[in-house]
Amino acid sequence: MVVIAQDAQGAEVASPWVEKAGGTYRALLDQHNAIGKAYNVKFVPVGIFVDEEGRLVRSVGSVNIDNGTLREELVEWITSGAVPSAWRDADKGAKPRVLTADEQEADTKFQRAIVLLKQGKREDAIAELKRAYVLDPKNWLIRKQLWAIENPGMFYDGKVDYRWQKEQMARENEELKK
Amino acid sequence: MGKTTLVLILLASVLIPTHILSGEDSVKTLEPEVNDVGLSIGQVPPAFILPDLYTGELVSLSDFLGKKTAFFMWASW
Repeated sequence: MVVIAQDAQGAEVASPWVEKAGGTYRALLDQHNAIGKAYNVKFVPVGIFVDEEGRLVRSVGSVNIDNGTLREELVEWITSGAVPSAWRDADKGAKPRVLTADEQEADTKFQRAIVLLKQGKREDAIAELKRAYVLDPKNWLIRKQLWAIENPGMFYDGKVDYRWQKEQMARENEELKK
Repeated sequence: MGKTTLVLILLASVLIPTHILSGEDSVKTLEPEVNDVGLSIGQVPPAFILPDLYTGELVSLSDFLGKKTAFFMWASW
Protein backbone atom coordinates (compact mmCIF):
# COMPACT_ATOMS: atom_id res chain seq x y z
CA MET A 1 0.00 0.00 0.00
CA VAL A 2 1.25 3.43 -0.98
CA VAL A 3 -0.40 6.76 -0.20
CA ILE A 4 0.25 9.79 -2.40
CA ALA A 5 -0.46 13.26 -1.06
CA GLN A 6 -1.80 15.71 -3.64
CA ASP A 7 -0.59 18.79 -1.82
CA ALA A 8 0.76 21.93 -3.48
CA GLN A 9 1.73 23.22 -0.04
CA GLY A 10 4.13 20.32 0.40
CA ALA A 11 5.15 17.89 3.12
CA GLU A 12 4.55 20.44 5.85
CA VAL A 13 0.76 20.20 5.47
CA ALA A 14 0.60 16.55 4.38
CA SER A 15 2.86 14.66 6.78
CA PRO A 16 0.95 15.45 10.02
CA TRP A 17 -2.04 13.53 8.62
CA VAL A 18 -0.04 10.41 7.90
CA GLU A 19 1.57 10.64 11.34
CA LYS A 20 -1.85 11.05 12.95
CA ALA A 21 -3.11 7.99 11.07
CA GLY A 22 -0.10 6.04 12.35
CA GLY A 23 0.68 4.98 8.79
CA THR A 24 3.47 2.46 8.31
CA TYR A 25 2.91 2.37 4.56
CA ARG A 26 5.02 4.19 2.02
CA ALA A 27 3.95 7.82 1.68
CA LEU A 28 4.79 9.90 -1.38
CA LEU A 29 4.27 13.58 -2.14
CA ASP A 30 2.83 14.88 -5.40
CA GLN A 31 3.23 18.62 -5.01
CA HIS A 32 2.91 19.45 -8.71
CA ASN A 33 -0.24 17.52 -9.59
CA ALA A 34 1.78 15.04 -11.69
CA ILE A 35 -0.64 12.18 -11.05
CA GLY A 36 -3.68 14.33 -11.69
CA LYS A 37 -2.39 15.33 -15.09
CA ALA A 38 -1.04 11.96 -16.19
CA TYR A 39 -4.00 9.94 -14.90
CA ASN A 40 -6.74 12.38 -15.88
CA VAL A 41 -7.87 12.75 -12.29
CA LYS A 42 -9.35 15.97 -10.94
CA PHE A 43 -10.17 15.07 -7.36
CA VAL A 44 -9.25 12.91 -4.40
CA PRO A 45 -9.50 10.34 -2.96
CA VAL A 46 -8.65 7.94 -5.75
CA GLY A 47 -7.47 4.33 -5.61
CA ILE A 48 -5.21 2.88 -8.32
CA PHE A 49 -4.45 -0.82 -7.95
CA VAL A 50 -1.68 -2.33 -10.06
CA ASP A 51 -0.65 -5.98 -10.43
CA GLU A 52 2.83 -7.55 -10.40
CA GLU A 53 3.27 -6.87 -14.09
CA GLY A 54 2.44 -3.20 -13.66
CA ARG A 55 -1.03 -3.46 -15.20
CA LEU A 56 -4.03 -1.68 -13.81
CA VAL A 57 -6.69 -3.83 -12.17
CA ARG A 58 -8.81 -1.10 -10.61
CA SER A 59 -9.12 2.68 -10.68
CA VAL A 60 -11.74 4.05 -8.37
CA GLY A 61 -12.80 7.51 -7.26
CA SER A 62 -14.17 8.32 -3.80
CA VAL A 63 -12.24 5.31 -2.54
CA ASN A 64 -12.67 4.49 1.14
CA ILE A 65 -10.25 2.03 2.73
CA ASP A 66 -12.65 1.52 5.63
CA ASN A 67 -15.32 0.19 3.28
CA GLY A 68 -15.86 -3.51 4.06
CA THR A 69 -16.67 -4.51 0.48
CA LEU A 70 -13.52 -2.84 -0.83
CA ARG A 71 -11.44 -4.63 1.80
CA GLU A 72 -12.96 -8.00 0.84
CA GLU A 73 -12.26 -7.32 -2.83
CA LEU A 74 -8.68 -6.32 -2.07
CA VAL A 75 -8.13 -9.50 -0.05
CA GLU A 76 -9.67 -11.58 -2.85
CA TRP A 77 -7.37 -9.98 -5.41
CA ILE A 78 -4.24 -10.24 -3.25
CA THR A 79 -4.82 -13.86 -2.23
CA SER A 80 -6.23 -15.34 -5.45
CA GLY A 81 -4.71 -13.01 -8.03
CA ALA A 82 -8.07 -12.87 -9.82
CA VAL A 83 -9.60 -9.47 -10.53
CA PRO A 84 -12.90 -9.31 -8.57
CA SER A 85 -15.91 -9.36 -10.88
CA ALA A 86 -17.21 -6.11 -9.35
CA TRP A 87 -14.05 -4.38 -10.56
CA ARG A 88 -14.53 -5.70 -14.08
CA ASP A 89 -18.20 -4.69 -14.06
CA ALA A 90 -17.29 -1.17 -12.91
CA ASP A 91 -14.56 -0.73 -15.51
CA LYS A 92 -15.42 2.04 -17.95
CA GLY A 93 -12.81 1.35 -20.58
CA ALA A 94 -11.44 4.86 -20.10
CA LYS A 95 -8.34 5.86 -22.00
CA PRO A 96 -5.73 8.44 -20.97
CA ARG A 97 -6.21 11.64 -22.94
CA VAL A 98 -4.23 14.79 -23.54
CA LEU A 99 -5.21 17.92 -21.69
CA THR A 100 -7.39 20.49 -23.47
CA ALA A 101 -5.87 23.94 -24.08
CA ASP A 102 -7.76 25.37 -21.10
CA GLU A 103 -6.70 22.49 -18.82
CA GLN A 104 -3.11 22.99 -19.94
CA GLU A 105 -3.27 26.72 -19.25
CA ALA A 106 -4.88 26.08 -15.85
CA ASP A 107 -2.02 23.72 -15.03
CA THR A 108 0.60 26.27 -16.11
CA LYS A 109 -0.95 28.80 -13.72
CA PHE A 110 -1.17 26.16 -10.98
CA GLN A 111 2.54 25.39 -11.34
CA ARG A 112 3.37 29.12 -11.24
CA ALA A 113 1.29 29.45 -8.06
CA ILE A 114 3.37 26.70 -6.38
CA VAL A 115 6.58 28.58 -7.22
CA LEU A 116 5.07 31.80 -5.83
CA LEU A 117 4.03 29.97 -2.65
CA LYS A 118 7.57 28.68 -2.17
CA GLN A 119 8.81 32.26 -2.57
CA GLY A 120 6.44 33.33 0.18
CA LYS A 121 4.30 35.35 -2.24
CA ARG A 122 1.01 34.01 -0.95
CA GLU A 123 -1.26 36.75 -2.33
CA ASP A 124 0.26 36.40 -5.81
CA ALA A 125 -0.14 32.63 -5.61
CA ILE A 126 -3.81 33.00 -4.68
CA ALA A 127 -4.37 35.42 -7.60
CA GLU A 128 -2.74 32.92 -9.96
CA LEU A 129 -4.87 30.05 -8.60
CA LYS A 130 -8.00 32.16 -9.10
CA ARG A 131 -7.06 32.56 -12.75
CA ALA A 132 -6.36 28.83 -12.94
CA TYR A 133 -9.62 27.49 -11.54
CA VAL A 134 -11.88 29.44 -13.90
CA LEU A 135 -10.14 27.71 -16.83
CA ASP A 136 -10.77 24.27 -15.34
CA PRO A 137 -13.55 24.66 -12.77
CA LYS A 138 -14.15 20.93 -12.36
CA ASN A 139 -10.55 20.36 -11.39
CA TRP A 140 -10.91 20.08 -7.62
CA LEU A 141 -7.17 19.52 -7.25
CA ILE A 142 -6.79 23.16 -8.26
CA ARG A 143 -10.02 24.64 -6.95
CA LYS A 144 -10.00 23.19 -3.46
CA GLN A 145 -6.32 23.91 -3.00
CA LEU A 146 -7.11 27.53 -3.79
CA TRP A 147 -9.72 27.38 -1.02
CA ALA A 148 -7.31 25.74 1.41
CA ILE A 149 -4.51 28.23 0.72
CA GLU A 150 -6.78 31.27 0.88
CA ASN A 151 -8.82 30.04 3.85
CA PRO A 152 -6.57 27.75 5.93
CA GLY A 153 -8.88 28.08 8.92
CA MET A 154 -11.59 26.18 7.04
CA PHE A 155 -9.28 23.20 6.45
CA TYR A 156 -6.54 22.98 9.04
CA ASP A 157 -8.15 24.00 12.33
CA GLY A 158 -9.87 20.87 13.54
CA LYS A 159 -12.84 19.68 11.53
CA VAL A 160 -13.19 20.33 7.81
CA ASP A 161 -16.13 22.66 7.26
CA TYR A 162 -18.21 21.10 4.45
CA ARG A 163 -21.00 23.63 4.87
CA TRP A 164 -18.51 26.42 4.12
CA GLN A 165 -17.24 24.46 1.09
CA LYS A 166 -20.74 24.12 -0.34
CA GLU A 167 -21.36 27.84 0.14
CA GLN A 168 -17.98 28.68 -1.40
CA MET A 169 -18.75 26.45 -4.38
CA ALA A 170 -22.13 28.13 -4.84
CA ARG A 171 -20.53 31.60 -4.68
CA GLU A 172 -17.92 30.62 -7.27
CA ASN A 173 -20.45 28.95 -9.55
CA GLU A 174 -22.38 32.23 -9.61
CA GLU A 175 -19.16 34.05 -10.56
CA LEU A 176 -18.40 31.47 -13.26
CA LYS A 177 -21.80 32.07 -14.88
CA LYS A 178 -20.95 35.73 -15.47
CA MET B 1 -37.97 19.08 13.26
CA GLY B 2 -39.21 15.51 13.68
CA LYS B 3 -37.38 12.90 15.69
CA THR B 4 -36.42 10.91 12.60
CA THR B 5 -34.83 13.97 10.97
CA LEU B 6 -32.82 14.64 14.10
CA VAL B 7 -31.60 11.03 14.24
CA LEU B 8 -30.61 11.18 10.57
CA ILE B 9 -28.69 14.42 11.11
CA LEU B 10 -26.88 12.91 14.10
CA LEU B 11 -26.03 9.81 12.04
CA ALA B 12 -24.75 11.98 9.21
CA SER B 13 -22.52 13.95 11.56
CA VAL B 14 -20.95 10.72 12.81
CA LEU B 15 -20.11 9.76 9.22
CA ILE B 16 -18.06 12.90 8.52
CA PRO B 17 -14.41 11.89 8.01
CA THR B 18 -11.83 12.42 10.69
CA HIS B 19 -9.03 10.47 9.04
CA ILE B 20 -7.28 10.87 5.70
CA LEU B 21 -8.37 7.59 4.14
CA SER B 22 -11.76 7.03 5.67
CA GLY B 23 -15.25 8.36 5.66
CA GLU B 24 -17.26 10.32 3.19
CA ASP B 25 -15.44 11.98 0.33
CA SER B 26 -15.83 15.74 0.32
CA VAL B 27 -15.61 16.00 -3.47
CA LYS B 28 -18.30 13.36 -3.83
CA THR B 29 -20.43 15.40 -1.47
CA LEU B 30 -19.92 18.45 -3.63
CA GLU B 31 -19.90 17.16 -7.20
CA PRO B 32 -20.88 13.53 -7.78
CA GLU B 33 -20.46 13.74 -11.56
CA VAL B 34 -16.70 14.28 -11.43
CA ASN B 35 -16.17 10.83 -9.98
CA ASP B 36 -14.21 9.46 -12.93
CA VAL B 37 -10.68 8.23 -13.52
CA GLY B 38 -9.18 8.12 -17.01
CA LEU B 39 -7.75 4.60 -16.72
CA SER B 40 -8.98 1.10 -17.45
CA ILE B 41 -8.22 -2.54 -16.54
CA GLY B 42 -5.16 -3.98 -18.28
CA GLN B 43 -3.55 -0.65 -19.11
CA VAL B 44 -0.06 0.14 -17.92
CA PRO B 45 -0.67 3.36 -15.97
CA PRO B 46 1.45 6.40 -16.90
CA ALA B 47 4.86 6.35 -15.22
CA PHE B 48 5.62 8.71 -12.37
CA ILE B 49 8.57 9.60 -10.18
CA LEU B 50 7.68 11.24 -6.85
CA PRO B 51 9.56 11.99 -3.64
CA ASP B 52 9.00 10.12 -0.42
CA LEU B 53 6.96 12.38 1.89
CA TYR B 54 9.56 12.14 4.65
CA THR B 55 12.96 11.36 3.13
CA GLY B 56 12.59 13.00 -0.28
CA GLU B 57 13.95 9.83 -1.85
CA LEU B 58 12.64 9.55 -5.40
CA VAL B 59 10.27 6.65 -5.98
CA SER B 60 9.09 5.42 -9.37
CA LEU B 61 5.96 3.50 -10.32
CA SER B 62 8.24 0.80 -11.80
CA ASP B 63 9.84 0.28 -8.36
CA PHE B 64 6.67 -1.64 -7.45
CA LEU B 65 6.88 -4.16 -10.29
CA GLY B 66 6.69 -7.72 -8.98
CA LYS B 67 4.28 -6.75 -6.20
CA LYS B 68 0.57 -6.09 -6.17
CA THR B 69 0.31 -2.47 -5.10
CA ALA B 70 -2.62 -0.32 -4.04
CA PHE B 71 -1.99 3.40 -4.50
CA PHE B 72 -4.25 5.82 -2.66
CA MET B 73 -4.26 9.46 -3.69
CA TRP B 74 -5.38 11.76 -0.90
CA ALA B 75 -4.80 15.32 0.27
CA SER B 76 -4.61 17.37 3.46
CA TRP B 77 -7.33 19.68 2.21
